Amino acid sequence: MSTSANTSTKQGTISGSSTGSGSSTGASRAENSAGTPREEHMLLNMGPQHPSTHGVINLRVESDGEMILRVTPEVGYLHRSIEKIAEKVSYNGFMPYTDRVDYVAAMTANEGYAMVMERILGLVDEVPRRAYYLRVIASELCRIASHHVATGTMVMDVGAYSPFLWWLREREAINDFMEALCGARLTYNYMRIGGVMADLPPGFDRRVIRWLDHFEPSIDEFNRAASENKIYIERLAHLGVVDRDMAIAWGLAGPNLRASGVDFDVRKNIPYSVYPELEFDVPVGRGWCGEVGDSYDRYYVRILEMKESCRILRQALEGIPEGDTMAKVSRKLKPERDEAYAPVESARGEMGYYVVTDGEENAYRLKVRTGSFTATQIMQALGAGVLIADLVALFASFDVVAPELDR
Amino acid sequence: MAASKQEPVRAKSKTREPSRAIHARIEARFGEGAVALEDAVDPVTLVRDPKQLIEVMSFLKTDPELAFDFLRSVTGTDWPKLGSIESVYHLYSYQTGQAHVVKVRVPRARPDVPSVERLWPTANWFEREAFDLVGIRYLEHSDLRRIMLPEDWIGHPLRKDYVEQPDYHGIGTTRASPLDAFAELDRARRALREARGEAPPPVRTSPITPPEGWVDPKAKKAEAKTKPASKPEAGSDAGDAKGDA
Repeated sequence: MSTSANTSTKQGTISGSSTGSGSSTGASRAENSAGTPREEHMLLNMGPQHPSTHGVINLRVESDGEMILRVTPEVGYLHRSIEKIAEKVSYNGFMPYTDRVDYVAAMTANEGYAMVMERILGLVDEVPRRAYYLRVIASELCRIASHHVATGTMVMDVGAYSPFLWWLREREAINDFMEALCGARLTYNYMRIGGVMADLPPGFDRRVIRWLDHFEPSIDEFNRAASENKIYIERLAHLGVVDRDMAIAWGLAGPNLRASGVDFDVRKNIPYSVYPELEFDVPVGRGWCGEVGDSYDRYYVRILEMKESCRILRQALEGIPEGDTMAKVSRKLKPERDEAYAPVESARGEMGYYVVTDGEENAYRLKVRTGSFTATQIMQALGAGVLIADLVALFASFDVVAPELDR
Repeated sequence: MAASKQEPVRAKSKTREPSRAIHARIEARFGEGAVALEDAVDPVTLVRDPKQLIEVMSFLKTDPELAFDFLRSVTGTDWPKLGSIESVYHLYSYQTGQAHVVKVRVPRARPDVPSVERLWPTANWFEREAFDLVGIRYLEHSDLRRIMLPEDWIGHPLRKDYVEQPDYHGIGTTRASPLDAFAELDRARRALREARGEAPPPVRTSPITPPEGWVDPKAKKAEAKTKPASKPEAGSDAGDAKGDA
């Protein structure tokens, strides 16, 4: 990295001496492309404040002209020490903080924490079935909303603006549902250890079904506008290919993993909640427009997942049983010395909570394993050989959410 | 707050058996002295000698019946009472669908653990994070730098004896509660008023008139408490008076 500290001045002098004219960097670039041997590489800071990084992440790019030689992600700008906070607040008091781990899909972050505590307290079988169904409804709505942001911003990063606005319009409807369900539009704090906070408001299921009737055809509309667009496909196909072995070795999760051809979904393979009772498929990358595991696959898997979430929602709203929404849980939780790990399928893949308890009212240690963390890490292996203009699309295809990465 | 009674410990979910079988297989390979089983909701295999960690981990990865190809997470836990730090590994196998937890314990004074990066490349950042926040030193790691905190940060925040520095490059890490400033202002105003001999200002109430038949829940609660002693209308009167004022 140190070699590139004063690139522009050095190149200016090189070109100046060889051509006798222009001392600007632009002139030296032109000279370089004409065949002068390059001595220096350029260091480009993408971020921390860059619209394409979707949050505060710094990608340090070492490039030779337009060609990237190395990408080094520098993270931690959004580190809020949530794991340390978990050691200070009570078990129930930590629930609102899980919203902040991933505020684009806060429901699944809630669910993971509720699940790990239920495992430790032995409550898994005592949570009412209605509560599990409510969790499924909330999580799947949230997954759709998160994929709205993921696919919409990806289309926007490549240059199309309107489809992004269409998705934000649909996402607004989900925000309204969430507001009706729990009073919040972004950080829900809806789930509780042992159930959920509130039952469905009257007329909720009818409203969601009506919206689904409108939304499902609009996916095809979105596909016509963006996914099937020739320019869009050519920007993404064959870009940043992650094969099966690489995806597993680098610990990719969720849609990113499935795009590489691994048929794995926590909801299917490590069943939790009432997902075994619901019928849905797991979309796996097939190389729709290029090869398996390229950026287009990562994008299109998410589009298909939205359709599956709609299927789950219809079944869950249909089959939701009557009953309580909370198990009987004492207000003060003091689990004995124990530890557990519980994974959930978040919108960004396996989100796992590892909790160590020691008989106190707050966790002894809590760790959150998130999909964005490994997805950002793999950039250092994928960046080499990519053009700078493609880096934006490549990074967007992993759907990294900075707060989830840094916690 | 009915909190004095603690929740009875209920039957834990039946997930322990597969982990025990996995542990038995590791034990059969490395001998009883090398590993120990620690019971929890997710039972843990403790590797007694940190030097043997790589050997055990590569067995877990390459053994055809275990085949743990996915390293979910690496993290650390500080145990000052035991004088040790744990490095915790969560593994999952896409081939068999099994999960297992492995731990290694090192002294706090010399928290050196061999890096598993060459087995699973994803360990790179996980180990950097455990180094940054817990202070475990991973030997033979390719790039052991802080990841979340700045390079010149002092201490490892997830250690139990961590003391935060008062400031970082002149930026304070704590600040006074803004409510203290309001309290101070109130005190100053009262002192001034008393010095001048003025009467306290009238208490401001909400201009919104409560709807017909609304009862202040606070007054209702107070009424319920004092019901046997005082007359029942006291609560609702108080509520109306507050609304009208």
